[in-house]
Amino acid sequence: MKPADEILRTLRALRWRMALGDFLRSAARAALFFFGVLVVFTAVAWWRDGFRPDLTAVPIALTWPFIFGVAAAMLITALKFPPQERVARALDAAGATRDRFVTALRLAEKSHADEFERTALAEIAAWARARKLGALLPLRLPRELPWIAAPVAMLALLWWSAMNANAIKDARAAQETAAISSTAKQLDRLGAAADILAQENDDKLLKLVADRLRQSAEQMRAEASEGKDAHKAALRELAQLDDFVKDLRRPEAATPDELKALADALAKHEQTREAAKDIAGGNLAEAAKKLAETAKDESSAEQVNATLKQALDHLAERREEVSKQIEKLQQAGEGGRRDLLKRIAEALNDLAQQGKNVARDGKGSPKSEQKKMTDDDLRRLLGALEGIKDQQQRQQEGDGPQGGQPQPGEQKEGEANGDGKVAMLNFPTGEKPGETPGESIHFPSGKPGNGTDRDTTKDPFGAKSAAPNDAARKEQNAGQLGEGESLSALIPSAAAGDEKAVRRYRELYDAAAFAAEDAVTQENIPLGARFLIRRYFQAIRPKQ
Amino acid sequence: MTDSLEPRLAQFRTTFRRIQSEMAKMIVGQDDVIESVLVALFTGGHVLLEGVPGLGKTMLVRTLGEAVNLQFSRIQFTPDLMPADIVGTNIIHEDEHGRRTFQFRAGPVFANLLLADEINRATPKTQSALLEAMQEAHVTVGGVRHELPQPFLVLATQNPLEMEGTYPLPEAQLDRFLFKVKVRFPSNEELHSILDRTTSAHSPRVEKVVNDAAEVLALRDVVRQVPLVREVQEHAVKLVLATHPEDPGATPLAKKYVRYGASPRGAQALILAAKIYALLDGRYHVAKTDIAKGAHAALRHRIILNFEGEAEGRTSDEVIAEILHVNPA
Repeated sequence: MKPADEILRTLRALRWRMALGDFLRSAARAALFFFGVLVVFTAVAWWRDGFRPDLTAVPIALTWPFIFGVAAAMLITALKFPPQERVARALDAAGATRDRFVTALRLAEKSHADEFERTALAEIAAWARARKLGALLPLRLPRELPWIAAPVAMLALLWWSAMNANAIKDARAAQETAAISSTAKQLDRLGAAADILAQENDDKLLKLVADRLRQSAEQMRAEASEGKDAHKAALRELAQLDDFVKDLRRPEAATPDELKALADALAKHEQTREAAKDIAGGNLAEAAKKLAETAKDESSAEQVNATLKQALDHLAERREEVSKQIEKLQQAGEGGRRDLLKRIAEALNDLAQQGKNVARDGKGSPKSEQKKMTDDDLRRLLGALEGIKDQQQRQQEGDGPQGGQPQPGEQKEGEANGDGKVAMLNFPTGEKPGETPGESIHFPSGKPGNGTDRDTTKDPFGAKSAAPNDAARKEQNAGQLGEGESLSALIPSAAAGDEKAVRRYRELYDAAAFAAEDAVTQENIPLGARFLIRRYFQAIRPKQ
Repeated sequence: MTDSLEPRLAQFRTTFRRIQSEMAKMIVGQDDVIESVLVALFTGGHVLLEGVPGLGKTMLVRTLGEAVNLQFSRIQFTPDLMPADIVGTNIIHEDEHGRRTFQFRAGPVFANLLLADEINRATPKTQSALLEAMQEAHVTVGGVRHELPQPFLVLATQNPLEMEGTYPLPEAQLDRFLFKVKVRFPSNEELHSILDRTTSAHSPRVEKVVNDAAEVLALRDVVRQVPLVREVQEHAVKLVLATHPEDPGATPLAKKYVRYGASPRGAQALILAAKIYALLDGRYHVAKTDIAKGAHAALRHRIILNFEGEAEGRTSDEVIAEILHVNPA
């Protein structure tokens, strides 16, 4: 075999060895890359706080980067299969070949090699035969392989952190759910009672109230199960229920029937017909504007006024009739719905107030106590509802309210109703739910003082002193939440005037410079220091 | 290996080593200097020897002349030396019939080995007389061109210490030297050997290794045939380009302290020297290590430092060392 062919065959054989080395390196790098991707995805999931790792899937998760890495490495190796030139360069770079393989490759590619080149090829072939060239391209574990431990460690940390966080979250959710469970149950029971009452009276409004109560209970449970602050959620829901009930209890505006009657009355006259159309169309503002314009017209004002008076009298009569009917209903015990709404509103107010107090005082009462009070109040609320229900039942049976039986809301504190449940909606004066008597004192500093009165004034900040000077400006900023007063004062600086030097700087400098020069020349100043003093006066010398 | 080439290559290696060993009899401890001078001899270049007086520079050239059996001449450069004193002049010759004609009397430059001692003491005009001889291998006197004998090797010396009253060689003339070799002061042991050889009754005798100049020229032809592939040649190009401060491959020292980089003659010197180093190593192709081996001697006089480099005491050897470090063989 010719030396050139022998060298080319050697290089071809070594190509596969180099390709294998490339494959291992590429696989390690690709696996490292995919591990990095996995770390990024896991970190994002962990950061978004919804990551629940499954320990059984960990081996599979750790296997996928390797599988992807191997696949990517195969693709890369196939696309970048090492050419002979690269093998020759690698051989020359790896060992003390003295550029033999690069030279041999180039000389072998020549179609007509001269005598010296053939001699060189023969020398290189003989040199290559005498050596194990495979050792120049050793198959080693890729350097990148140990680095895979880094993303694996990061994954382990993320998984451990997520599992730990989930355990804490689950524990907190269970705690929060337990904390508001009784409240939610009370709301459920209240809603169920309202639902029954609504069905019995075919009252859509009560049905709405019942649905809203159930929704609030569900919302509280949902937030508690997510580990959120259940007490806060309960307070919010109760506040919303309070607003809801207040809206229901708010005196109604004119009903559509009443507006229709008013529109009919105004439609009888030409001058007010347009306004009647606006009223019928619901555009009350436009109607009022047109009526005002019509009233300016003296010719028709009297007629319009008469029409309006007639219509309003008619409305007043209807309102009076309705009021009488309501009064009769109330007297006859038909005021159950309004009373129920009123009682719910009052109970919700109390619950909300309790929550605010707890939130503001913080350490004023423990959560357990707050929960207890909330439950108590709900129990009272439920008792009120039960009382109404009993009352409704008795009304249906033809029994009016007994003279000696207190009305809901008037029941004495601690007194049990007919079912043995306590209906307490009123609290002692000066006390709030969740506070023991005497706890209602508010300290501005957050803690009681030392008993020494430092000032004669009742103002906790002391008597107001005079302003520092006339230019001082005092401001009293009321806090947004009304948590007390604050005082701020702006004190202008003393040199804020427009004073100017009364002597020219040059005159002052000249006077001082002579004195300094005299001082410098005295013998008691060290020679080194004299230079510094001169430099100083030179530095402050006025500019020419 | 072919039969015809192998003996020639073996003869080259043998001849080179024998001359080296013969010179080493007289020149103690200057092996790298001897090798550089021989490389210049077989590549057709010239050598600038830099060293203080008394280090055996003249002895080196004379020994070389004896070993290769070549004609040797020496010129002591002084400020009053004229170009005609080097190249020769036309004199009036009167024959037996009384007719007078101009006849060219060759100067000392007409020799195979020329020692230009303390070349920087002559005026630039005289120094330039060597330019044509070194580059073109001929001199022109009175409009007549006179070919110099081949091989023609100039070995110029200069003293790096005494700068007063000297005329530093211009860059153009420096570029004509293949190598600039620094002759270092001998060590303790080497000094003992020198004293033993030069102060005893028996002084060593140099034997002739080469019979005539034709043999040297034949070996020169062998050297130039050594194959060199482009990848290896690229290394030499990189080294030369790296000496230019404006080149992207310039090293930090080159960018900061070099005013002018090496010329293309520097690359030629690197390649020619590398071919000889390859043959001496028993190879028939040039490797990058061969190029790096001659880099200092071939490039140090072709790199002109700027004022900052001179002021900070930098040398071109530092620049070359950094270039070789950045571009390993």
